Amino acid sequence: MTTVPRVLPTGLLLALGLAPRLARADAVAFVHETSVYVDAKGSSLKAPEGVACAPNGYVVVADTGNHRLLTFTFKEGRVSGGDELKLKELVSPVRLQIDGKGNVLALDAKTRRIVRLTATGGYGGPVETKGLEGDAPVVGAFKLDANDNLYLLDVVGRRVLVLDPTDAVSWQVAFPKDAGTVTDIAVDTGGTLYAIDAVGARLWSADKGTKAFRPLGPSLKDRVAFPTYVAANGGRLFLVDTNGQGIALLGADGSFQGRQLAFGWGDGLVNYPGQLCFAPGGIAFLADRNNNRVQAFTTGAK
Amino acid sequence: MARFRTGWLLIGAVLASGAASADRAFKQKDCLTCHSKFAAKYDSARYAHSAVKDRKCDDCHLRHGIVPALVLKKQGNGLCLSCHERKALGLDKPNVHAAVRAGPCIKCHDPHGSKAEHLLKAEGPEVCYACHRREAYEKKNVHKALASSGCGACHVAHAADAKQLLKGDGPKLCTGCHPANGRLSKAHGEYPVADVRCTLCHDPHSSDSAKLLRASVHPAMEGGVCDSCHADKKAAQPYLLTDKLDKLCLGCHDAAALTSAGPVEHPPFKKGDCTACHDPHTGKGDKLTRVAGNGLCLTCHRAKGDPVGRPHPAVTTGAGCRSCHLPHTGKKSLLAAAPEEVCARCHGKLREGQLKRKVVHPPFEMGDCATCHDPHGSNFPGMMPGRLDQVCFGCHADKESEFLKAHTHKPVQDGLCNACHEGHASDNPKLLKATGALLCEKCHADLMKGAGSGSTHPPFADGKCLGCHDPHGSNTAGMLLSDQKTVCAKCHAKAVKAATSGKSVHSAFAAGDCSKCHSPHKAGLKTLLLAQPPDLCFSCHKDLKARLASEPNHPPVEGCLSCHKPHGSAEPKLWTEPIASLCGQCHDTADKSFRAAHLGIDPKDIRCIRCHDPHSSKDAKLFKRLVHPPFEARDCGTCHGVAKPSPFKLLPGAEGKICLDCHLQLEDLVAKPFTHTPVRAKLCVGCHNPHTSRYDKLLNAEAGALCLGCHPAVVPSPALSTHKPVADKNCLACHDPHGTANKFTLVKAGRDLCAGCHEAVAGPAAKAKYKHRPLEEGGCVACHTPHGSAKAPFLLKADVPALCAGCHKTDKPFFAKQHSKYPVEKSRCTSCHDPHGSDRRALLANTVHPPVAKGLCPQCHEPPTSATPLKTKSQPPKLCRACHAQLLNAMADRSRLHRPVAEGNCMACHSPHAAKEKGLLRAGLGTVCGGCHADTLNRQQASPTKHKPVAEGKCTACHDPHGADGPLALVKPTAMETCAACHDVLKHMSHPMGEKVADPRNRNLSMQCLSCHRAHGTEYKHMLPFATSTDLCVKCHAQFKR
Repeated sequence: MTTVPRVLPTGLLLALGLAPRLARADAVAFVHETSVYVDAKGSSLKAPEGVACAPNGYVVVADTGNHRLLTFTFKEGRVSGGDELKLKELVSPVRLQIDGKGNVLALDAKTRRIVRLTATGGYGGPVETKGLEGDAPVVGAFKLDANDNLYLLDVVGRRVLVLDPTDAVSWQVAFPKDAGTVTDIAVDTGGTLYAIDAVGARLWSADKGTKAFRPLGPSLKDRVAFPTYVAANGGRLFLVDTNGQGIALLGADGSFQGRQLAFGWGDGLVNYPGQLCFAPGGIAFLADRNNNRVQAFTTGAK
Repeated sequence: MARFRTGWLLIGAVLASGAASADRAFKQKDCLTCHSKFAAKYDSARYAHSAVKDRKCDDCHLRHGIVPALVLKKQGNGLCLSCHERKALGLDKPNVHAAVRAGPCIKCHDPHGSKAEHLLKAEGPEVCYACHRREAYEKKNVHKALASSGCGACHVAHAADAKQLLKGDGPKLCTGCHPANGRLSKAHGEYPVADVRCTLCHDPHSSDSAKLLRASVHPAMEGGVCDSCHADKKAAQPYLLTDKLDKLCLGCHDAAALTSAGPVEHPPFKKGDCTACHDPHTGKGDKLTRVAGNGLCLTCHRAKGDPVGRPHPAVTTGAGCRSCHLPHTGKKSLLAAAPEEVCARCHGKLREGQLKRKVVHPPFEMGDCATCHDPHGSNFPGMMPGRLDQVCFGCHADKESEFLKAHTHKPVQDGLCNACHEGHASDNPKLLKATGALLCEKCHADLMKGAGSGSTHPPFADGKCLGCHDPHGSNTAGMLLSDQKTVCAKCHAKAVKAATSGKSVHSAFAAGDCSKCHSPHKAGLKTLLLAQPPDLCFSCHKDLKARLASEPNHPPVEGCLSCHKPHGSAEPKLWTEPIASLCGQCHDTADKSFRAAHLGIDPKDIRCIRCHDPHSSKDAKLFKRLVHPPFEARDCGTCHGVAKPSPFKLLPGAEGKICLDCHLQLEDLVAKPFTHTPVRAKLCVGCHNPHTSRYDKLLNAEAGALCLGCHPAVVPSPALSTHKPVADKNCLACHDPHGTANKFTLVKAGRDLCAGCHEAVAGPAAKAKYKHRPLEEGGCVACHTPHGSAKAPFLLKADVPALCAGCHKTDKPFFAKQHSKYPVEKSRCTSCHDPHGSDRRALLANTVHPPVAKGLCPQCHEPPTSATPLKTKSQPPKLCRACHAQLLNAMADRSRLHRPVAEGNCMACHSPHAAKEKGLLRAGLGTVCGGCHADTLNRQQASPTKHKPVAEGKCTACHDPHGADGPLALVKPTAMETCAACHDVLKHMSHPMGEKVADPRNRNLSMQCLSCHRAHGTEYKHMLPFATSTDLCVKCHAQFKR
């Protein structure tokens, strides 16, 4: 993809045959596909904050306001199912991930701990870090990589802990000293770790195995308001700008590539968006918290 | 008389109008006044809902007032069930019609009226066909009961005791019409079938076979020899099999023929469970299969039946699954042959042709088609099992992370590896579809068509695209191999060196933005220029373009390169040569008129651009925007002498004095006690150009920049803090440029000057009971530097406590006593004391933490005699919990904690010792909250309508600063209740609001305050999210959209 300096007038671009390449720069576009409003029994979702997608079309929603999880299947542009998973150990689910075996990991906002649910929906126990000295982490966010390594954002320890599939700590990276409030982390297929500071609107990255974050570009304060979630997908980073009501697209080098979505109540618009996940075929699911729904978008993102 | 009559008429009219207005005030309109079309439609219906007949619209609907909206008294089926009791409808029975259970009643019924009985939407089976496929009910022979009485002949509509909503159980339902008499017995070979489920052999709806039998019939049954498998018809148990099932079947069907196809056996066949697939009596498909076509296989292999966007024709047409698989035994996966042979049956020619090419994809060569294709179909092009690139990355795993770059080639980004690579075989290396530029041409044909009419970049002309670009992606724009400067310098190193060694370098060139001026491929101009100067130059130099458009131009400006070099120059401003000789190219300096116009000054001594603008000017002689009047009047002699040897020098002793001859108002300023150095030196030209200038007041440069010319060190570098007027280069905010009665030519003296901006500090300080002596005696600059500080924040001359220790002797016993013997000499004094003044003794801040006020420092800190006396006994929140346990426990019980609370960072908002604000807040709420939530406060500042609590910094009016059970930490359970704490929602407006009023834009929302307003403001009035209220209203009331 090629970008052309903005200073060139459009007419000149057309004359040079560069306009088509400019158009390609905006290849990712969120187009509303469908919305999930109810569970299998027809009960409404309430303030959902989390959503996780699996490659087989399995989608799990954290129906936070109703203190439960819902499981759906996405196929052929349609979402079906909506069976309820309710556990007393999971009062306020806010972030979700699905591992390679189909187990669901859910972060409880009240206990600040992660609990596992087996692929059949049974309680699989909490995630207990092994080999960590000192206080247990207070988890603010988490992610899984392709090898089911678990990345925990420890808000009190101001660090990211990486647990292997046996929950043993295999790597940890301290927050940068000048990072404000780190609200989320992401890990790409190459193992690079990203962290987003919502207050400073800055992205940080740490190559696999390194012990320190480095800034990924300048502050995005003039582009985003208060980003609380970051997802890495297809060589891009997607910042969910919760207070700014939209999604910011960034290159892997932190370069700003545009914004998608806007505030509103109807389908395709968002009101305090939460977690974002990507299903096969470039379909993105977004927990649309204050609209009490989860929305699916075709994105063109691969 | 006439007047008398008129009076009575007036009284009558007034009375009449009063009665009419009373009538208007209380008479409620009937629904049909507006909904007359509705009435006409349903009055003519054969069956009408009783409420419609009786005009009792209010039975179901709420009146909507002037805002048209469908508002029902109850949502969903609850409305119908309020009159139609569940029991009466049979909904207490175990089997409920799915349409009733999951769908609304109005799926089948019209709630107002219908031409069909029971207000059904259609007559007869048509209403059922809305969900049930009609083909199954309209075959050649239709069950008479269905044909004559419809579905209701056997089924009930809402719920039943029997499954499938049947009116009776099993055969009893059938024997109601087909009695168990001799005729029935004879038709079934005298076997006692009256208690046997009839649907075992018969289709109860319709069939293409006679007697409603299913599609295929077992010959034994057709021949009436039931006892070939079953016991005798007169036996006690006539339906007992005479042998084991598999033996019975193999008694007729040749086992060797069934097992000859291969070593792999179909599990049901292996177990001898023939009836898993075949029905021993009749089959819905051929060969007595229980289900017709692929449906039989899908009963077990359900996942294979999922609908897909790219089905395999072999599966969906003809023999279906049996196109490739055998039902009893076969090769691997029960295939009829080896996989490559099975595929080759249809795709043989493709395989044969591709294998002849030079490079063959290994999986294809090995015949392992299923590596890349799903033989049962998929949702991806080419029946790939996943998106193409994911399939490729399955083997080429290392490439996935290698290709993840900020600027990725579109086909790579779209996962279309096959845009460049062949999937099966190719005659080119790496399975490429073509080599070199020929490959790129497939997409970039327009770009690559022909050479440029003016110039073509040699690598581009030679088709060496990969000389500059990475074919998959890179982190540099344009997918370049590295940054543009490096890529271009690979070939143009000499030019780069030459251009960067002079006095000036073009900023675009220095930044390596070569493509800002040059096309990397081809151009219609020489040297690959994107456009001709000046258009090319104007793409960056927009200010100059605007100026040139608004005033007459200096003719050479059309050709920028006649005066400037494009990359770098040994002269300033990229000039092609020294300015005098550059101008001399066109202007004959030896000419008499030139010499006369320039007072005979030697051209070598003239710096032309001192008076003339080289690009444009409204003046015919290209003088700059402002011209000094004597200069304009060519009254040079007033200031300059005319005698040799320096006719352009000022008259002896004339500096400064000459200016005051005209600028009389400056005399007072110049006479002030404190004057600016150039003024004192009578050097007006230090700041002003005596001839022409582009800047106001004939200044030599922009005001702030001009000051920095002489005072470059006014702000230390690096500075820890800089005064805002200094940062804004607004020196004149504090200083007069000529002179004042105040030192440093300040416009006001001492604290008065600072108070102009810092009233919030100066005001309370002036009223404070206890004042800080340095402030009283030395003013603000006793502690602060006015421009910038390299040592401390807040422009402090030194950081605290060093600054304080300058006056307060920290080594004296008194100091230790005052601080409970704690060694605080290196602590931050301002964490307890207000340096500007306070109403408390010792300048303690107005709010003091009780342990501090009582001198109970050891309550939190280790004893003063300890080796680490200032260390706290523990860290927050544990430390704070000792006193604030109840508060902290209450916080911990909340589902959502404010992030600093979750981190246990109480000090993020609170000061541990003393503070000006209540609650020991470090600053006002607006400042404390705004530290993190600046975006929210900025939104409010930009809003034309201010929300009072936000504007006043009372964030806690709506939000609990520690946490809550909801996501926005609201102080009330819902947003509407939060608003209602200040606003009387019921009196707000007549628009329906509340939990029971659905938001038409979103079925999961009800109408509430935030349906129309945003709490922290918007760029529009009334905190609306749209420019006008009409724009907002039509989002729901679309019928009024214009």
